[in-house]
Amino acid sequence: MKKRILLVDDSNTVLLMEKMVLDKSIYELTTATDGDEAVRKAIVEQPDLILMDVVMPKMSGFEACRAIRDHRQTHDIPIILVTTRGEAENVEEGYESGCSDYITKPINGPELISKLRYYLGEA
Amino acid sequence: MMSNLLTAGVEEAVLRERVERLESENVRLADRLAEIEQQNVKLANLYVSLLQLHETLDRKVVVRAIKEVIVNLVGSEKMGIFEMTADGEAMRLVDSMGIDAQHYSVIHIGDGGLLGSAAARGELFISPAANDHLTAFIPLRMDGRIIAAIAVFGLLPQKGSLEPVDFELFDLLSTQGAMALYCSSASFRVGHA
Repeated sequence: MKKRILLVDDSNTVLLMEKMVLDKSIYELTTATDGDEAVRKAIVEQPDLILMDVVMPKMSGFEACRAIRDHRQTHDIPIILVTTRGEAENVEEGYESGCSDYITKPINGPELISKLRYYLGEA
Repeated sequence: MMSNLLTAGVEEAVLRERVERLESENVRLADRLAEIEQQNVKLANLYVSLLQLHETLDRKVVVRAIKEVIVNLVGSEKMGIFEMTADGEAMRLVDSMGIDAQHYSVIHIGDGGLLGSAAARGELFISPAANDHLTAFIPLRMDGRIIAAIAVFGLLPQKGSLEPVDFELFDLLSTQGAMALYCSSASFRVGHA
């Protein structure tokens, strides 16, 4: 059974790139373009993992992460934050918001795939 | 009994050697897999950039696509996108991120500054060090003439330096970015004629 990943980014470029890099024979991919939509889809779809940008309109990735962690049904879903903000204070805020892991842009493909394998297991 | 022990010893040696060979092959295949995955990402970057540039004739969306490529795929949040003025004497800032837009609003070609000099040369310029002044100048060309340019001022902290895939993205922006901008501008003119 395919693992389901929710991709969250307000950039169509990033969503397209993530969809191209992630093997669709292994993963079932859905998308959201802001934090608000991410929280709603996480509750409804119960993905196996969420890959989420930080700087987004309506609700940031940090805020969405907290909301997802606060919800009983989505509390344990692994969340990997993907962001240009690699400074220590931003990483710390990411972990304080409840993320499971953190990768910086531009995305390193092998690093992303390696983290997905870690959280979702090998195919 | 002695011969049994000898046979067991030989078998163990053969198995040990086979395990070592398999482990070595495993490492080689893992390295090769990482190479292929990296190549896949590179191709994905190029394909996605191309798709984003050409899926619209809306000039604002084309400019936004160029910015997204620089931010998300190259790794910079300090840039300016310029268009050449009709007389070819200057470049006018049409969009920017993370820089003083007022300061860079018009760049006169060959004005002696780093950007003006790069524009005068009209070629791809890459700074020897990823500094804030000018990391890269990417001229966008149509029919051999520069119609626009992208200036990148510094990279994200986690991005140490430009990589081979970035130069391929610059090549792509130089031609396909130019075409996308030109077509979107032409479409705009036709729509408002």
